[in-house]
Amino acid sequence: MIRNRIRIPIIVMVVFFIWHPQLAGSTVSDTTKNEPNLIVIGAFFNGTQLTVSGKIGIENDVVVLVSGKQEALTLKKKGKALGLLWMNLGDVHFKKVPNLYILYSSKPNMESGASNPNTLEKLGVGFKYLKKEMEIEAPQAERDALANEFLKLKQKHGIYASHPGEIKFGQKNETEKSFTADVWIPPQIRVGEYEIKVMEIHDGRIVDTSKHQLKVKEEGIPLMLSSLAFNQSLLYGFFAVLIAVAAGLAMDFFFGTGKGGGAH
Amino acid sequence: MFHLYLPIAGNSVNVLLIFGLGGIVGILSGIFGVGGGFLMTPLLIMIGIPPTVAAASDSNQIVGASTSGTLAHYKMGNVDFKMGILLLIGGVAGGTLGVQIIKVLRQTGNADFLIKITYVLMLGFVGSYMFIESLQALRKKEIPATGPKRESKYAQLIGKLPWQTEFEKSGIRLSVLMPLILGVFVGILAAIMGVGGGFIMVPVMVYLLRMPMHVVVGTSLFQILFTCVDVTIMQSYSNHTVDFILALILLLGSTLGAQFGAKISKKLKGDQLKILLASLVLIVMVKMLLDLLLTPHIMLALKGGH
Repeated sequence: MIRNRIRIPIIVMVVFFIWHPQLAGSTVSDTTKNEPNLIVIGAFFNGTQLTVSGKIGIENDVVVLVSGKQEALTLKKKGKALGLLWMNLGDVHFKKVPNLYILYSSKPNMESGASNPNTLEKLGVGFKYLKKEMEIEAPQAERDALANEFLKLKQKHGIYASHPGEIKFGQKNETEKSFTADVWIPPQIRVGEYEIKVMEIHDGRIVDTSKHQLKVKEEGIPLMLSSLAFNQSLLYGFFAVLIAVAAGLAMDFFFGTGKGGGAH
Repeated sequence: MFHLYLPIAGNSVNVLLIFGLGGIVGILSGIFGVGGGFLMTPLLIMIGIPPTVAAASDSNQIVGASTSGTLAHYKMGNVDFKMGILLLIGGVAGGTLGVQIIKVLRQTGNADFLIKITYVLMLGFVGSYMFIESLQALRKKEIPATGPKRESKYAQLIGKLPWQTEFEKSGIRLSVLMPLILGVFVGILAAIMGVGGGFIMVPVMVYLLRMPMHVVVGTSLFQILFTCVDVTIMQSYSNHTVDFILALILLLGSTLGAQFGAKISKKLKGDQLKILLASLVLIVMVKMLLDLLLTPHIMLALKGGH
């Protein structure tokens, strides 16, 4: 029997924040212990890479899913007005859609390939499964098309991604092989808690699962500005105007036309 | 490399790209006296900034750009404060009215349609009229710094209005009612279209108030400064959509650009300025028309934006 053999050292490499550049939350573990995995969003955050690695059975495959909380979302639906002009023609409400969905798998064809066309869907992961699960307030006939467009939009924004066949296998012995997934976390990730789920697959079934928490938080200037913008919004507005006016005056002072003079 | 995280937009951007965008729009702002919101917001959306954040942060950067631009034009003697304040009073009243109109339209579900059609028609009309008029003027080799001054019925009509007063800076005599009424008109349109209104205000000043082009640019910037201060504070307070970091990078580029723009503006003749602005307005109009006619790649969109 294959039991809890997945070892997932998760290396959260990240991010320098302003004034005190330092690696944040960099942890390496070779056990299944839940390490405090953390992404710190500092002033220079531009996405980060997360390395998920471990060992699975020699004949098995592996799927890594990084996902966020389910939420409700309202988007604008495009349609033709007067049968000619494309424009936003009303709202569409989506429910039960995760705010991040990044999927890596060792096999290239687990979702759409000819040999195992719906493996991921049967396992409860992948875009086809998401389509089935999401709730859309729209007539049944439009539902499928809207779900497809939703997935396209999220992929365009970088917060949904599927990387089939992008988990690499390394050393192996008679019973086990090691794997590594270099998971790209986009800069659009929001502050909050996320889940890293690693599934070991054998013959179309999940034989082992491992879950890890991933925390994302802001520090330095981003944290300062977010809290000012959301907690003292009027002050933030005045501050934004003052700085803008000061920058305008400073530019004029350093670069401008001199004391009351005309253009050169 | 050169990336900075924007906490309100929730994305990171290339600083040089944003600085460059700000610079280009700042040059246009300085030359023509338009805020540039109708250009900048779509560009920001294209590089991945959420539409609501793009529009609000752009207003913030216009505050900086128009401060610098207004000052540069003031030093050249190109700001008619009397006219600017009257237009501003009308604009605030019109803007408030326009916001109410758009609320009613949203409830009836026709708002987006009306906004887009108004946009394309206004841009098309204003752009074509300015282009043709300036081209004719350039061909005749007349170099009038002011708009046409025929004794038309329009001229006779505005001459009969009460409370005529002298606008020394612009060198014209007009009824106080004219800038107030036209300010209301531009304010309504600007609120409906969700823009500062510079590209409507400039032709209104040139053709309906008959101000000299160089005074138009400085006065328009002065008026835009106050409009955008109001929008920045309101958007920060109500919607939390002003990304200060984004605005700061944009305005470093745009204030620098606005200074260049003001100098370029001084070197160009009135009709050359008008024909350039007309071309710019027509290009934006064609781009919007294509967006309306071509099938979109994705049939869903985020809410907000111009």
